[in-house]
Amino acid sequence: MMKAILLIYFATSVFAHAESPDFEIAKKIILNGNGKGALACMTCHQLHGAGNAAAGFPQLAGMNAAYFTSMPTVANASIQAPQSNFELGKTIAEKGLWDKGMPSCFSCHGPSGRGVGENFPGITTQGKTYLVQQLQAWKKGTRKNDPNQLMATVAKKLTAKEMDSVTEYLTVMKSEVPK
Amino acid sequence: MKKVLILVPLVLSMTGSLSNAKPDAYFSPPAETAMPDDEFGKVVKSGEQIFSETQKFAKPYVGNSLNCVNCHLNAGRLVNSAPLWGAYVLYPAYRKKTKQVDTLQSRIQGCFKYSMNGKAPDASSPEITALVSYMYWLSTGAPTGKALPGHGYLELKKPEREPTWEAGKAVYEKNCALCHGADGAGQFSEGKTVFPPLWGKNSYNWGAGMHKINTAAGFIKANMPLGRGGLLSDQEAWDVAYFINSHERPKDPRQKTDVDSSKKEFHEENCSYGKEVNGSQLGHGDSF
Repeated sequence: MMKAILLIYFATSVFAHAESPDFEIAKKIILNGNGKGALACMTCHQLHGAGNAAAGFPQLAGMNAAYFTSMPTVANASIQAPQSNFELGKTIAEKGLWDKGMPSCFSCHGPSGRGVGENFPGITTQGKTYLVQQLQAWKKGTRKNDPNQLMATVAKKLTAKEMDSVTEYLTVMKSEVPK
Repeated sequence: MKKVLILVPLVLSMTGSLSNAKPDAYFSPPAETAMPDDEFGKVVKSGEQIFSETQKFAKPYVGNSLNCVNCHLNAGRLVNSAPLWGAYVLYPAYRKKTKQVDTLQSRIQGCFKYSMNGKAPDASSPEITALVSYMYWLSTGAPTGKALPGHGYLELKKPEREPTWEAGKAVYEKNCALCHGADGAGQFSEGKTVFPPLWGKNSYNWGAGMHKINTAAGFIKANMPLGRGGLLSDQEAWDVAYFINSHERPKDPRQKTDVDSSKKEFHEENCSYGKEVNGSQLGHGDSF
């Protein structure tokens, strides 16, 4: 029943167009989760159900209702999507986490994160999946070409939530690559 | 009587615990989100902006490419990075440098004259008032007159080997050049200083505290490379501090006649001012 309601929302994909009280419930679940353990749908499937092709999250908008309802419920334990926090991401990018000795991203990558010189690439010029993958690679040690282990040091100090939050913030601040 | 017997040792142990503070028991300034939301808070905020973006918010008084935060990390909060809360509680104070009792206002004026190679705003200017207000607010709850753990920069023991240009250059090329440039000129982006110049015409002048080799060594040891403080050995910190501070930089504003006289008056120890390095005498503030 709930799935059908969710799909009505995604199918119409119009935020302000409240058909019925169920529409409002659907909107709430999509934005905030169901308060009983189900994550907000938009966390992975984006606000209007466009999905995230690179990350492998399907498009839901316009999906056949019966097909959607027939999908098995995904156990949340298998989803690794720590709740991203915009304010936390902003703090990390602009101020740093100095309790852990971590400078801000922008103190090396430039005031808008567009990169500086040969050694500090743009970070607001990349997508979230890529940013997360690189941070994880430094953390695990599968990428180790950073001079003085500057990025490995940073990545090892980031929790999953911090990593998610800062990459989310950087993607939101995505700027044009300078010509 | 019983209350006194309990309270006196309690109070003593509390005051004692601050002066015997372990290195991890540092003073903690209020969070930025706790900045007051009133008329005073506006001035505090203005002070924070000047401190963080001095180029933008105190432009008439700045003569180089630095910002206060280049040497006072994390907006003047960071332990062993000359935090503002550490300095605030130690002023007014007699200083050998000026041979007078300096107030916070006159101390900050010195920052503009030397570290920023600029000119000092009036003591009662909006800029100085804002900076003092920011320092005061950051120091909320800090005990007046106490040298708090983590104030100023680290004081390193004298190096085992006398620092040399060659040893310093090797450290610099490996650890510093990627940010500050092989030529020490720093790096910029969108018109803003990202990595500050360490020598040359856009850096601090010969009157700045940072030109002293022991001061720079202490700063570098705790804070550099950025995010990897403590990476360098003490010897490496001394060597690279010597290297950085043995390049030419803008003149000491106190110089009245010639470099040799100024050397005797202001630069007796701990620096390369007036010394001959690589064939020329340092301190003239030219030939960059």
